[in-house]
Amino acid sequence: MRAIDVTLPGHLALEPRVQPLPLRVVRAVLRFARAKPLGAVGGFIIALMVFAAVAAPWIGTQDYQRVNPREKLQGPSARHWFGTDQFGRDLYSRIVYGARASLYVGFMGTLLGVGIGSLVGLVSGYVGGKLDMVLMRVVDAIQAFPGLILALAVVAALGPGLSKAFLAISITLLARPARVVRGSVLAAKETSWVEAARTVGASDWRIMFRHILPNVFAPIIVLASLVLGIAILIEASLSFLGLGVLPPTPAWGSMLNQASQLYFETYPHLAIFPGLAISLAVFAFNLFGDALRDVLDPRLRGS
Amino acid sequence: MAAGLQGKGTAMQMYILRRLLSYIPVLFLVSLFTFFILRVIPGDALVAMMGERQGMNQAEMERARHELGLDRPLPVQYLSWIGNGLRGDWGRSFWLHKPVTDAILDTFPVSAQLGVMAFAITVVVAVPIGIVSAVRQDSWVDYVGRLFAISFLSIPSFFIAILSIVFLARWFGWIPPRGYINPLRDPIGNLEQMIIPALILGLTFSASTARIVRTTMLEVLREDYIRTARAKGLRERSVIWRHALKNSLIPVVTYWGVSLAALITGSVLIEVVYGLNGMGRLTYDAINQRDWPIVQTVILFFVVITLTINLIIDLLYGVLDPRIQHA
Repeated sequence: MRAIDVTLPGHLALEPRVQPLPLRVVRAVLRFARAKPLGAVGGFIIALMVFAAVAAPWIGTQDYQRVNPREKLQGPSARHWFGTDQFGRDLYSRIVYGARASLYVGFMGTLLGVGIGSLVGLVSGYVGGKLDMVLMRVVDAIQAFPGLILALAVVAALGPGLSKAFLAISITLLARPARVVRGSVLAAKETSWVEAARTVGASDWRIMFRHILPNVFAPIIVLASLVLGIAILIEASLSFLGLGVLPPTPAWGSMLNQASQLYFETYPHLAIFPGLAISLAVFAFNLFGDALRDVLDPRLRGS
Repeated sequence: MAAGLQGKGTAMQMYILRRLLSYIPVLFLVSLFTFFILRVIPGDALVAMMGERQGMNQAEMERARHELGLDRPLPVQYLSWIGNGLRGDWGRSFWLHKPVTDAILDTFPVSAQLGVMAFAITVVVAVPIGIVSAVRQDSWVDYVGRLFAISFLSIPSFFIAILSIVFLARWFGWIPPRGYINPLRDPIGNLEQMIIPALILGLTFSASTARIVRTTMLEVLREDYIRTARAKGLRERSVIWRHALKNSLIPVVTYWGVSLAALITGSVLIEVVYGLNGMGRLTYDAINQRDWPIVQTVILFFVVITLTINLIIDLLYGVLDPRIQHA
């Protein structure tokens, strides 16, 4: 049995004794971990990676840019935990710093994509009529593009780089949130509380953002967590193709690109460590997203 | 208009026609988007970059400018691209020195073969895994199946491809041949070349498919008619394969329709790693060479393929579930 957590909007909360916020957060995390141990493992890996990204200067053992020809192409050792690349740069430090680019682009792409998508869905579903039809045709058009192809088109146009990569990812991702939110809005529009709000003379903006949006928030959060893994995969793919994050900024995907492939046959560790970093990150987000979906919104199961 | 046609076609033909008509606005928007996003860079800057990439001289760049129609207003450029395209002329590649249609026709068979083989592998691998996972829910088989699925969902296909090249070379001295071996002339050589890329792409695609098969199977197995089938003494095998599988296929097929794009997407990366001259590779090279006539047309072509596959899938519903009528 899973407890259903009903959170009322602030002004309606009737909790007799309100626990301090940190304690409630800890309780919620523990409850999640007990119900979904695998999801908690995913969440833990994500937390570790975020920490590594933020604290990279302290966690990375060496300067990730320092070229040292005398120590190039070494295998893993006590001095260089993951070995060194063809320029003698410390691979472990580069992967720790690489978490910054991957997570930043992944988070920003998701935030922007799910944000814009939700906004489109909210307006489209609420206003309806011709605007709805036009917006949904645009969403159809975006969905007709195979994901990476659309991202490729956008970076082809804008050029490579960190901010362009997450812009490309956000455009690629916005169709699904738009559809899901539109569906939820269509349902919410017919409820009595929206009718009540309208009766007391609330404006359309107020109804949309104060009454409907908070009620379609659960599917948005779930979608965002499910999409994060995809966003990181797209970032890695773009960087791998040389169209995402550009050197000298270290990114996991670009460590696998063609310039380095010459060395992989003789020095496989150059490919294995960055590849494992991408896989682990996506794996963690998948576990976490799946668990969050099961807890928050079982209807989305299978998507 | 509909009244005029009703007498002529069956309901199915009407449905296909309606679907095809509904693709027109989508294709229009897609072509607009593709065209205008590629013109975010001012034309002169584009020609300069292209010239630099491809080592053009001043006269060649001037000619390229004219041939791309960059000396004309944008709407005129767009209309002439689509107008000529509908008459079969999608422009010329500056870098390959041949018509865009030829470039696409040369590379399409490679991608198509890769996609079809990968899809076949998906059906063979993912459907049994999904079924066994569902039938033996929460057993060790189920856990292995789910671990397989979530791993292949997380490991990027290009990483597996790179590892396969590295370790096949280290252990067996096998190096994938470059270029495309024609299957009609050398079927064995072609198979040798394509099997591993197709396997990697297929396994990646299997991961998500196995998950969907498992979920829908689990739902179907709880239905009343499955209990009835068991109650009337049918063998378990026949319950699973004839009653449960058939009914759980519809969501799976829907999913395939939506995510075949993933197959195309994956093939771009696999083609780049394996040096296969398919459409994905063509797109990638064209972007690097700033060869806009190729880029814009290939993207449009990818979308047309996606829409066509979706239409075929829609028609398949009728075959899978006679209750669904397209009228």
